[in-house]
Amino acid sequence: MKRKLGTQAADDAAKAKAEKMSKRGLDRREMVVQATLLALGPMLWSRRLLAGETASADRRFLIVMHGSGGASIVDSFMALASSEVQSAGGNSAGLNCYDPAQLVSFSDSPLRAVNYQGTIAVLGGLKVQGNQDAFVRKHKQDMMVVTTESTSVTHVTAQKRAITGNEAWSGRTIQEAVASVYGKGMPLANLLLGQGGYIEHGIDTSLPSFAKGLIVNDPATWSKGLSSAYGLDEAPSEEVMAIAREIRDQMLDGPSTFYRTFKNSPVMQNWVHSRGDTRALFEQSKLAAGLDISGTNGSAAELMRIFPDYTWDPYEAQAILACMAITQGTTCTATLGPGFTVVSKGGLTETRNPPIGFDFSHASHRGVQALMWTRMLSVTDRMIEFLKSKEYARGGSYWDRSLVYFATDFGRSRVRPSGADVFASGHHLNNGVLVMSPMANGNKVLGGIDPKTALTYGFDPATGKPEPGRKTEEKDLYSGLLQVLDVNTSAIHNAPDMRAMRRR
Amino acid sequence: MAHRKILSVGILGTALMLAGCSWFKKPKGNNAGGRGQKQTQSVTGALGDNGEPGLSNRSNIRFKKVYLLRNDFAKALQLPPNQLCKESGKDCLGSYNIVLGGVDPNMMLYSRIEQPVTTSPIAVERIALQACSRRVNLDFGGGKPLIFANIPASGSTFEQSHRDAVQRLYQNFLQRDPTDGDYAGHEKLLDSVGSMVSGQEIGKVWAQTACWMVATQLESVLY
Repeated sequence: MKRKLGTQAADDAAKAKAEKMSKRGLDRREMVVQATLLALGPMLWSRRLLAGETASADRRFLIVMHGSGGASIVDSFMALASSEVQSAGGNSAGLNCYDPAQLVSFSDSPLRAVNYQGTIAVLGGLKVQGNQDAFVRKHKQDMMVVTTESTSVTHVTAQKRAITGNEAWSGRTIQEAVASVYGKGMPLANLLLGQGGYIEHGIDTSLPSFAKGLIVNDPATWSKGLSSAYGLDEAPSEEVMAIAREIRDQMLDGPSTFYRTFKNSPVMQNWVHSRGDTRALFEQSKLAAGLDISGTNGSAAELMRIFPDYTWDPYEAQAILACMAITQGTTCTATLGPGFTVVSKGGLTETRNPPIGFDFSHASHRGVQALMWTRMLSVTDRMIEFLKSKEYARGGSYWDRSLVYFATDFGRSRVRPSGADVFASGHHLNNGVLVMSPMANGNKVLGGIDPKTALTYGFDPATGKPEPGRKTEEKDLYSGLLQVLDVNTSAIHNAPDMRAMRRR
Repeated sequence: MAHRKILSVGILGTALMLAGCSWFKKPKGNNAGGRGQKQTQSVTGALGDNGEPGLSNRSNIRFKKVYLLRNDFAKALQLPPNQLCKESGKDCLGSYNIVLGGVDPNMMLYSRIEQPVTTSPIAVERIALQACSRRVNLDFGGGKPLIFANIPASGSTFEQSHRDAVQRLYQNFLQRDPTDGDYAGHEKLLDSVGSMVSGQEIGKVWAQTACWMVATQLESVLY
């Protein structure tokens, strides 16, 4: 009645349990149901089926790259030159616009780049060398900026709305929506490596369980927890562990008063399922070894060279884990990004991540924006290169099927003290986001910016034509991103067709 | 006369109501039932008339969150709470903090998961294996053993020393004595280990896995 165990001892244990069950007069129907489920279990979710499905599936991949604290679009790809503000009759000294020497425009692209150089005094005079232009030159064909108007300037609320489209799809996050379509058969379909509202679960109770995100708090070591014994020198052999597991399940837990009293509890049922079939699948698939960030793991070794600072910079460790999980057929959506905690190899002057990330713009706007954008673009560039180098089973590369959504909380205020280069900024609903994908309408800015106010405005969803006075709401962006990923958005009430965001 | 009629109707109505209540409480099958259910509240596992524990209708079970689990394991194995296990040289509970229901202000995660995720039981098994290995190494290391005393290194016969160790494991982890079935399970384990492990390792491997089995029993990790 149980799965084939392959050992006499385990068979005996199963037999003993069956006898005990019979003696106790256990419900026959329950025994039949359990036996059927146990017999069918491996067929329903076997490694072979998993591998086959993963290899042949026509999947898409979503990377949510979050800029916590407010990644400002007017300090990057929609930056204004002071001369533009003046020409429009605006007050360039009082508005956040850049000296033409710090701003790069391109003849073949509407995108801008800010190459800001300066220091952040409150970080011990940390020198900042922004160089967004190299990134734009390299990736502009896959870069699309979408202007936005969000609905909250409270961090976690705004973050959550950035991934739910302000509850557009019954509270389903964009990661969950993608995982529910492309994650079937994947053991860790939705990997949440980031922070805050970006890694919160949605509230759609109809979501398939496989699409629910798994939160990873320590990317450098987390994967070891996908096996109960992987990499432990003191662990007994797999055979001994299998016997111990079988005896525990059948001779200790099965007949125990505790189990028989509470066996209908969903928590207990989930626990038993997870430590049984799920763990077996993970261990048979060698997930812990495959996702282990160590030199003995071939794919990790390659990524450890690409992201050499993973030991002290968690963002780089996140990138390694995300790349491995996606290219090993384990995951179809990964969420990562710099956090709110300080990252530095040494003292203040070596700060790579200021406290509260982009939100440290409260103390020094331009320096922090330049520092954080450079940080995010550097990691993104390396991830894209890696994904481009990995061939997908159905042809093309993993990058051909991927989309990077630079989610952010909100924009930043546009005013500055007259002519100041170093100034503080506050939160602002108006902004824009960067989307990168070969499937997106690349080398485009959807919407526009008013040079008198430095505020962005929306666009026609069908043509992409800028429309002053129009706003791109959270739901519009959410729907458009899903449509780029070929996810059916008919479940979203009044979902707009954001044709302008799609390349084809 | 009318007074008597009213009294009769009242008594009859009350009787019917009480009977109705008891009907609602009637067990639907062998495992559900009022009397048995009440008796299973006891940690000693007292049984109902039919020898079966009652099936809880509320089934209000939770999993032990990170600090509760850590403290219970540390107390059961008499180890420092921060030395139960290591991952890459660090306290492993940090690696599994979130999946074990912890919070992390650095991640802006201020509310914990109430339901275990798929990796929660696996993380618990991993922690238990490391913690048990530490206890076994200490007990077999020449000092005064706390749980595994006088366990033969190579024998695969279930002796009194094995029974004593099993008894201590159950008392430490589950606060109860083992049942005959529990002893049988551990004896079966020793028999299996004896046929799979080379001579001098039998006692140690048995101790390690016996400890792991009890530490990861449902009764140990859920409450």
